[in-house]
Amino acid sequence: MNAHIIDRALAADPYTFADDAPAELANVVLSLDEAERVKDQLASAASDGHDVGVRLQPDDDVNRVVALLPHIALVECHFPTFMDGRGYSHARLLRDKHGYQGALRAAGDVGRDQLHYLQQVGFNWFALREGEDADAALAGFDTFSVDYRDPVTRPKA
Amino acid sequence: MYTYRPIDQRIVDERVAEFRDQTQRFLDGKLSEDEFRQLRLRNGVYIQRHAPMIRVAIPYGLLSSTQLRTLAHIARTYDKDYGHFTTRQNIQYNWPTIESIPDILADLAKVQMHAFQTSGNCIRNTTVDHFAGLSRSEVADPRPYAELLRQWSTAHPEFLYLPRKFKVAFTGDTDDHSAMRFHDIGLRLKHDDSGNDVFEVYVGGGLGRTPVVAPLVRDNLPAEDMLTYCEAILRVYNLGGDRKNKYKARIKIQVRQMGVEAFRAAVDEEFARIQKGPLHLTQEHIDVMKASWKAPAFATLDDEELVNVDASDAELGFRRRNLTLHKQPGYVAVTLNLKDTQRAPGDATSAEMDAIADLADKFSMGEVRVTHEQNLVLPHVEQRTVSALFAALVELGLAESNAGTVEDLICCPGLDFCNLANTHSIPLSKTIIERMQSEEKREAIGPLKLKMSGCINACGHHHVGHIGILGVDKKGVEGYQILVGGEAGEDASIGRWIGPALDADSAVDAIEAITDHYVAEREDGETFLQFTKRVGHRAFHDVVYKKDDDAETQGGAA
Repeated sequence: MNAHIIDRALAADPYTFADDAPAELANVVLSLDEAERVKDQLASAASDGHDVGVRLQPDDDVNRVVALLPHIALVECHFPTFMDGRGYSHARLLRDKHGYQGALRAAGDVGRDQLHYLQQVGFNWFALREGEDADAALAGFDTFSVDYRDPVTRPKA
Repeated sequence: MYTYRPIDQRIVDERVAEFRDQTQRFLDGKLSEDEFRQLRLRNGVYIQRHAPMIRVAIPYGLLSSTQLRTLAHIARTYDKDYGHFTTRQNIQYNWPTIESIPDILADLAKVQMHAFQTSGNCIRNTTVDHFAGLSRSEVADPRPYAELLRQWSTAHPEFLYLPRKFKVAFTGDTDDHSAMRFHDIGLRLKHDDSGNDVFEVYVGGGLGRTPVVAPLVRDNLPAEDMLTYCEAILRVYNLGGDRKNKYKARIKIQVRQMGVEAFRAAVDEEFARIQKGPLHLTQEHIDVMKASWKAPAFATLDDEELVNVDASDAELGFRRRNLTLHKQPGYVAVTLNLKDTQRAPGDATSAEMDAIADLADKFSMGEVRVTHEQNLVLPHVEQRTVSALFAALVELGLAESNAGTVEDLICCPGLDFCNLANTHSIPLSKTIIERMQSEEKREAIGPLKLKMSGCINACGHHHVGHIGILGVDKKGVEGYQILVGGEAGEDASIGRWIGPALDADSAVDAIEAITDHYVAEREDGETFLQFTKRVGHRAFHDVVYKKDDDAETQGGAA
């Protein structure tokens, strides 16, 4: 079982991942290809109040998910290895360029030592890798109390 | 010098705490070897051939005497009483224990130093022209901008796991001493027609397996846009750089594959979007940062005669080669060479570091510079005190007057320390220094940059040596290939091979043959680089391999 942290608290995961979209879309995460294939269903699921998520792989073009954003409740950036940093830029673009305000989940090879930085680029949900101590991981959010990218940190008279 | 604000100190202290916790979890078996490796790399910690190595950043190559004494203290307390100054304004310690590294970082933090991102696939230590703020050909001092960039790149959450390492260098000089065009980003500060600070932005230079002179991607970038433009470059690279093949993962390959025009268009598109965002620099940010880089309180002096003075031959040689005129009349920058037959290039003992710190206090307003040529510089020396300083350096054994000569070579740690090397660079460098070490040769040959790497990764910058040496593995035997015609600064160019690999003895003979040929055949005032361009690298092949070719011809093998 992977532990989940949402907004800095341990939480259950209401979603399951499906390779093929089921007839009724609810609480399911789909690949980007699959989500595009059933795009019309996404809209109706959304209007029925059902939550659907889309999984972005590092190789995926983040612009493709933009058209789906109005119909989905979760974007998951998958990290096949924590050393592949593309998901960080995907998150920044989703938040800053595309104005996405919904749930943004980091999943895959995600451990305590990445949480602070993932949070800084806009992730609010963390599906920790197998075996990661979730209680201990909660300490991983406060590595730095200030962020040099914030203009308030810049020299002032 | 820049002095930390409370916020800068807090970030460094929090980094030490983060790494102390990570190290403890690793020692307790709670953090895997693989994951700890990536975390320690981002704090400058490698596992080398014999022991862990820690690489400490010397941002913009600038040290106070207090900081240098701390570097000496670390060498004495945690290492074998010496440190190694590298080609990227870092110092490396080769023998600490993993357990002691958090304490080393804590000692560094007390004097506003750190090892943030000195290795790993992230934005590395920002380097700056070592004559910044003092060179007479400098247009503007780039160090306030380098510090703004250092802060931006420090623990930048988005760019900690890039496709490959990423290096930025600054100059503000028309005569670049930072090898700017061999960096992932090279920034040259200058003034536009209205006198405003603007940058030339070069992207995608580098050495390694595929040496590339960085193309100009943007000219006249307003200073206020420096961080946003760099952020746009990094985002394009983070998303588009090659992550499958580490040998194609540097931004130089991305720029080459996209083409400069397409790369520029991608950066410009992202830049246009974020230009007025949180990274935009206001004039206040820039002005306040500049104010914290106030020049030292120089005395009002006149320039003096430096070379035609009544002094010993040794001192005259030192005056001819180791002094650089300072922007401030009456001052010079003095190069202390860490190159002699008794040491690996760039090594300094704790006692030497302490002694140099004392000299900095006495002669150079408490300041020391570290060059990418692995030397130390006392940057603000009154010309009238040069003789006294020289006498003090003789006492310390640091008065080698070989700055800028063949002996002032740079080299990587090689097989003595490094897991990747093919050859022992350090013993060869000592042999070359022994062979070339004479006043006669120094005067006859003049300035000549020799750079030597123990393997294709090019840590010794062999591609950009006027003469370069590359260590190769010749079926289990150490071999040395020789290049000529490289240059790291203005007129940046990449050297060309002159022929097949040689054994160590023949390589030393070849260096002598090449320099003898230059001295014999050059025209009046012709530099080695000009000479090389005129005669072509093939001419050196004939000089170095002539005997072999003759022998082969006689043997019928040709």
